[in-house]
Amino acid sequence: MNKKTKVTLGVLLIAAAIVFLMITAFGSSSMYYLTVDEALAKGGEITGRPVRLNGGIQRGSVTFDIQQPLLVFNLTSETGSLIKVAYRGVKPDNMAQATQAIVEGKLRQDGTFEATKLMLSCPSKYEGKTYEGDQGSR
Amino acid sequence: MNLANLNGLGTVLLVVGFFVAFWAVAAYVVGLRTRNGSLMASGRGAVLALAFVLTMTVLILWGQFIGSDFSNRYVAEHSSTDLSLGYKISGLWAGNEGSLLLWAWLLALYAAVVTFIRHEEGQELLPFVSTILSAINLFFLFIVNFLSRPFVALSPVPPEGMGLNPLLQDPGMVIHPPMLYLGYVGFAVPFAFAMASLLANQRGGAWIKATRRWTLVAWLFLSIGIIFGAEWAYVVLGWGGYWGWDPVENASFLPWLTGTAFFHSMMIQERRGMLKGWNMALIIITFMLTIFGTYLTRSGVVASVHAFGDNVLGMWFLIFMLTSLAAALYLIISRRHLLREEHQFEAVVSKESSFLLNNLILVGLAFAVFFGTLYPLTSGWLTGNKVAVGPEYYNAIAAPMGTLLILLIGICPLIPWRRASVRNLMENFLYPFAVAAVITVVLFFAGIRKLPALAAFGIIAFVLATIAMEFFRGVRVRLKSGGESLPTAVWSMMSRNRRRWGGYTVHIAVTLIVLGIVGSSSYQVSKTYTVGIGQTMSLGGYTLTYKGLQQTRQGQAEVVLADLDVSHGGKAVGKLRSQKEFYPNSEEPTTRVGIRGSYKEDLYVILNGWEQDQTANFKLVINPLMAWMWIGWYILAVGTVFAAWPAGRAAAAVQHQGSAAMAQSD
Repeated sequence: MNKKTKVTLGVLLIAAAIVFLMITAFGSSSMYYLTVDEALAKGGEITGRPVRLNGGIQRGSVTFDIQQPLLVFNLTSETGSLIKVAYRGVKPDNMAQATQAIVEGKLRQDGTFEATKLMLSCPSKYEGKTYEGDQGSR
Repeated sequence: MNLANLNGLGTVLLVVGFFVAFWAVAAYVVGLRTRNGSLMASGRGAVLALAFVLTMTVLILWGQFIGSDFSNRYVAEHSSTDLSLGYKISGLWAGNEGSLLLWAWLLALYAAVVTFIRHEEGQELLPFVSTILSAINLFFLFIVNFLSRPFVALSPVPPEGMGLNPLLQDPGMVIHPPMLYLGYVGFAVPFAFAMASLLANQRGGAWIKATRRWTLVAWLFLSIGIIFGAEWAYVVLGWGGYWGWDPVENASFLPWLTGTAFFHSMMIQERRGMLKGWNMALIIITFMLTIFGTYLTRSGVVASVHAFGDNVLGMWFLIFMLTSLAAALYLIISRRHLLREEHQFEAVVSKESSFLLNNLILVGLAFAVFFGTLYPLTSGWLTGNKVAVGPEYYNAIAAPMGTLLILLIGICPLIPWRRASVRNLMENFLYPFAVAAVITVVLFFAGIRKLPALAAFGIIAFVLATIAMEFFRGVRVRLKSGGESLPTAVWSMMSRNRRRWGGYTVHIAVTLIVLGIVGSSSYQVSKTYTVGIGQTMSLGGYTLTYKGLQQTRQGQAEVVLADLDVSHGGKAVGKLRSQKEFYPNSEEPTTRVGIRGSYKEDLYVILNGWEQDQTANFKLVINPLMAWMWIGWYILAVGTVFAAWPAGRAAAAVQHQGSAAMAQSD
């Protein structure tokens, strides 16, 4: 076997190892990325499985109990259906600014979503409010 | 001048800029085809003119920010009169319009410097390079002229602006985005040189030599940008810790990885004329990833992953990426004869092959991160079910690959070119291996029992030992050969071969960064407490006594801060403050974490909330070895500057001889 073949084989071996690593990492951490409507449609099928849920934060539904600490709010879809989310953790500072939230966790039997991770997206992560309806295009 | 006219002036300057860039491209293209020297000189003039025009444009916008001219909608949306000067200035990059203008401006500045600076190698490529950089800038000028305009007039003029998003009101905002952009934009230069060498039908590696320093500059800025982002995210809650594998963070990490791979593999082309096609591919990928990074950050693809391509701006970025990619690929394929290798691998274990391994891991890691970042999109297209991956995915890949990479940092520099012998390996690695083995055993008995962490610590010890051994060997040789004092010997050894010792310094830095990452991720502990005034909390040997809340004013913000007395092992060690800041333009506070750092660990205290009677809820976290991560980044910057710094004339001559001699001796 000449040097070139050996090196090529080595390269392929390493590439295969990386792909293998990706696949194993995938199996352990991939989760469904669903909207509120999709999650409700799947219902029992996803109960207890890792899900990343994306929806709007229902205004006025946010409550925070500092003693636990426990943050509870409703995630809504455009059609108006909603899922109650319970997040054991700190209330992020931009909770009231945020319009959209992404939560990771599991849907419990009682239909409450138990979140272990909460990410908020403001209208845009970096943009402040804007003057809508003025001249000029965005 | 009437303030309102500044918007008109800015708009006109942008139009002028667009045509100047167009002229630069046209004059160069025609000039190069017809070998018309005066046309090319005119192109050079246009490159300089563009830098001037865009500098004026940016100064106008900055003037509007500083003067709180809210007749400009962009200013009104991102600033207010009560902001401090630093934040007014950073308004330039607080939104889409301004940051795209910043892109164009920085690119024009880079282009002007590249065009007018003297390069020792690749000077003949400059007309092509300037053409390509101007052509890239045409795209950004198109965007700021038509799609994302920074000078839209607002009427009626509001009396006060909306201010800067409180989450952005951090010293990090002043430095993090511009550094990141300088890094992103900087990679356009090596890309342009690579394309230029193909266009000029060059077979040699002049472009590699010409771009080494430019690549280091871009890489340095990108590194600084990333670290300031990480520090910012660490001290202000809401960004999710120093690194969360957020798509936007990944976007800055991707070109960093491929850029790192590039300036390693470029050395092989320089020395051995090998991996030519690979280097081309790497710099193209790196450049594409910088555009991709801007695209992810600015197009809104991240905020709502579903809206891929819906956004007009995003679509144009996509078109630009695909067009440049197609053009670059066409060039490579049509001129592939230029990329024929001059040498083959002579042995399976050699410096060449170890570089190849390092490249594979860096690029493999980049691929895995890229794949994960875009997985919600691709899985949606393929299966209809959007599946996302969490940080666990990235960590599961980055941990083993990072560990392997660190191991290579120890091994690669000491493997000779062409082929390695067993004797050579024994000579270089026996002592470091022994040191690492002893340290690993000691750590094991000291209670470090998590296998991956233990392995990482052992490898880190090994790497540091190999570099230390190289260093002492070199210094000893100089001291023996006579006459020099120790500091002179060290300095002259290092400055004679800046690349080598700068490189070692960066290697030490990366190793320390990994030390911080491994320590803080493997041995982090945390606990949440709800306490009244005078009550105590404890974690990891620390005892914190809650002294109550205070309300003060800091700049724009009303600040509520919690005072804590900290003692460690029964001995009082100081005070700590954790605070929430309330900004008038925001309904919600910004939390600033209280940190008490040492070389051993950071005590990290988050004030979650409080009630009327001042009962407060805290989260205490201990992040072991965090300080080493920051120290590592600073050393990295110093090492990169040292490596990129031009050698003095005398030293350069010696270095040239030296490297020729080295090439012969190995």
